[in-house]
Amino acid sequence: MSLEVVVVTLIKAAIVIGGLLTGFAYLTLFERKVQARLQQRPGPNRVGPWGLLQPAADGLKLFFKSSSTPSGRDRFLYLLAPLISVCAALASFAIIPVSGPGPLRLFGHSIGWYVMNVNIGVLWYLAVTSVGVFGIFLAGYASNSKYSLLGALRSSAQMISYEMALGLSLVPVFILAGSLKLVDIVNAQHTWWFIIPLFPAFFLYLIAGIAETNRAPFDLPEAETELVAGYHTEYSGMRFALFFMAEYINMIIVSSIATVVFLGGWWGPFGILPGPWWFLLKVIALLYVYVWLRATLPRMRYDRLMALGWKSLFPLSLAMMMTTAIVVVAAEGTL
Amino acid sequence: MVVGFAIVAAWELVTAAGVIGFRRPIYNALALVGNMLGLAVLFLMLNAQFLFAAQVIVYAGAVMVLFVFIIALMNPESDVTLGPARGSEWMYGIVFGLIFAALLGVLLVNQGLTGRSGPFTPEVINAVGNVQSVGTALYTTFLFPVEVTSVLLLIAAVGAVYLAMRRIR
Repeated sequence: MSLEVVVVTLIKAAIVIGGLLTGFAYLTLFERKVQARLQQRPGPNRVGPWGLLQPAADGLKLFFKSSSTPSGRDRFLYLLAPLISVCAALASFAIIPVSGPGPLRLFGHSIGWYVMNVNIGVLWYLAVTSVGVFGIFLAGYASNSKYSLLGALRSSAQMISYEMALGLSLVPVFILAGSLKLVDIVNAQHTWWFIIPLFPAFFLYLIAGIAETNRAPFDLPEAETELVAGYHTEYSGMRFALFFMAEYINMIIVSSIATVVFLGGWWGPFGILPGPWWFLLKVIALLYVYVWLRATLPRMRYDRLMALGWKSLFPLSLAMMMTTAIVVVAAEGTL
Repeated sequence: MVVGFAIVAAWELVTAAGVIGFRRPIYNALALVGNMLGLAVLFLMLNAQFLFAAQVIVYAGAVMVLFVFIIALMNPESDVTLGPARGSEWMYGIVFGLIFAALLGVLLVNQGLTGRSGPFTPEVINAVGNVQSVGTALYTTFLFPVEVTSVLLLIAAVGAVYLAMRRIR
């Protein structure tokens, strides 16, 4: 590995982190605005034109707030937990190709629109999120509070359960594309986006993705009426903001993977817009679905949620996987 | 490469010492998680990307989360610590430590740690794809062990369901 490769990768990582943090800040504004419109009210409109500077104001406020900490906490784990959450969220974006092999040149090299194009592709995302569960669980454990511990238990159980359905709903795509590399998967969708032949898989992925990110209507870990705020009840100031950041970045990542895997990534009809813009538009559309669901649906009961995951989504994604495999083999004429 | 290996190896030794050294069960479990993540990085350095993902997802992500779950549920008051080691524990420790040291010594003397290089060189694997080459090997050459293992896991799952059902009744 030459020095240039290391430097280029570091630069790309810095750009991605900067982009994700900006995306997180404006996603909070987007959510508040859209939700407000869905509820017949204007939403934040005081700071800057159309409230556009609201995220900056929120960030400054959280930064200067004093951080209160529970007395019986486990000092080391209490500090470690938000870091694990944020690092896991940021690291999983590394595999996402934002655009095609366009004219992106640096130091005389032609470089791809991704931080890394690994052999194992989406498995990287699954691996990183499975480590991210520790952030949430340790936060609940280290806070020395019953609300936090119960919220953390619910949250990690939910994430582990739905990760099965999430991973399995992606397998039909691997079967059709014949590769785990995200760049190859997008290139295989040049004529037909995979959402057309694999709509059930896309639907399963979307539901599992919403549950995986602990968002409404599956946001039981932070059900206010019973658990105050779930695993981050005892966190305040910037440390609370880190958990918030991890949740929103995870939303961006689940939407980005759906875009790349099912919605044709950077390909758009008619060639009217350059690749990165198509990617951005599709991700925003999926994020809108997230906000829309939150403003529309009531929260589910916890046992129903687990039953849905294990008794419906999991068998359905297995069936989808089997069907795709049989159809592909039959179409190749080797059956 | 050698520098990277030295760093990871040092991390592995430190976390392994942490697994037996800490007095609080949750820290023991977390040190084990750190150890498994380091092992995954070693797989990555050996070009075994699929093994890296499997190691992280299965061991660090699934098995160890369960361990941590159980530790947190058994003693939610976080001040529970392990007591000082008793004499009999020291004796077992020394006996098994010596056996393990003897095993390692035999390997070192016989140069058993340098394996022969097989047909799967990094170039071959990168041409086919990491997951693809592991999958082909598992479902052709090693099909029988894979199927036997799957039956074993099925028996374990059925047993777990039986135990849970009996308690409900």
